[in-house]
Amino acid sequence: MDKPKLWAFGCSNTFGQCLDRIDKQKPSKKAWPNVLADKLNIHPMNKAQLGNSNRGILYNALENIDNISVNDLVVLFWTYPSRTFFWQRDLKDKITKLEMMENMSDKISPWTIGGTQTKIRFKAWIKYFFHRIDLEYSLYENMTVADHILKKNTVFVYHVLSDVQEVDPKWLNVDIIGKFRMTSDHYKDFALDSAHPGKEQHKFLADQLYTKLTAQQLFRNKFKIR
Amino acid sequence: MNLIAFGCSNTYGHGLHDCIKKTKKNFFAPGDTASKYAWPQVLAKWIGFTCDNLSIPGASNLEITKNVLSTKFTKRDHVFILWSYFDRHCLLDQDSIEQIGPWISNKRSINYYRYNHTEYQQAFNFWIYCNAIENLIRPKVAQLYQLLPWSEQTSWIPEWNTVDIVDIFMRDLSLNWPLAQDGMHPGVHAHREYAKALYKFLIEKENYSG
Repeated sequence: MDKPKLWAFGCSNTFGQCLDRIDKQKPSKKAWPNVLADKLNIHPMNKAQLGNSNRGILYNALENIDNISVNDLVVLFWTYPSRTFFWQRDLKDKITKLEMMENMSDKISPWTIGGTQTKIRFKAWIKYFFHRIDLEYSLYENMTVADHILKKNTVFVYHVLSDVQEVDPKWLNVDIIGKFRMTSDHYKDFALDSAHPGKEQHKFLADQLYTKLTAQQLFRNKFKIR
Repeated sequence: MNLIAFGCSNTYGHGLHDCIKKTKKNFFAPGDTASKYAWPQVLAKWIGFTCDNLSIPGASNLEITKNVLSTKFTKRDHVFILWSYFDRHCLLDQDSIEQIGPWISNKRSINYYRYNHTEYQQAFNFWIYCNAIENLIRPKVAQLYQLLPWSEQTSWIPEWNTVDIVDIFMRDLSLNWPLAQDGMHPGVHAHREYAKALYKFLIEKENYSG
């Protein structure tokens, strides 16, 4: 039987941006998914994308649904609700055009992906549609759908939240194993860009998630944790 | 048993003769309560159920989702959701909802269609909502039926979708019948024919009794 896999979906905080080098192509081996997978003796599948929004994280998870098996573990590390993205698709459901941004104090993030038209579009988004409560509801819809669909493949689907949420919907029915304040004033150390979480912070995240996961009997039995 | 219906004006019966108010701008607003000739009331009567028509005129699929999620259900409830058109949207607040639609002429709506709206995203969002509802509501109720107004709305269905949309489409069916008094919405015959098609479906395929 193949070794079980840890499928991790998220943004740069899961990708491990600038952890060991300024490499934007491959997720870092020092990022929390690899550290956690090592501790669990399973194979890491870090599918995080830089700059990802919550709807984008859901999209990535659904794109990989056919590869996730009953023996696998899925952790969705949701990002800041202040992000959004727009995209187009072709007839094969592949993204053909992608625009991403984050609202940083009512200004477009410097890392915005897209050209001049994108910036006009995002300015309108900030002015007319940026609303914290609305975005948090959207986050919980994403979590609900991801949970519902991924659990057709494996029961081991877990969620982690970044940022503090204001909305607490009574209907939410997913397993949240961590809530972390992913802001620079809460990091134990920093990556090479002095902005993203460093190795110690990633190790801390992996340790915290390991403790939460292995507290569950079903999880211990499945992944043979003593 | 209770039939609980969710949807937009197509479920509310906007424009039917007991559900219409002429406003100053020569626009026909819906009545204060859902029409007793709207399809949920007609269908409930035929299958001997009580009826709660909780539809909202002008609702987007996001507003319908919020409406469904804030309703308390029991195992005696048979829930019918006739979803709306994909091009609508809304902005959610803690206790209020602002509708965004092509017929609304405020800055938010105009800018939504100018900068934010893409057909694919709207369709993708719909499949997110109906799958969330499937997951959260089906275990709580006796039956859940999800419906769409137009068959063309099913021209793209994502591979991960788990929802069976009932293969009866109100607006397709209403093309054969006169419009309501407002000249925009399905008329009384269309509502009745739609209820009849659903009734047939329930009796023949779902083992309901008339």
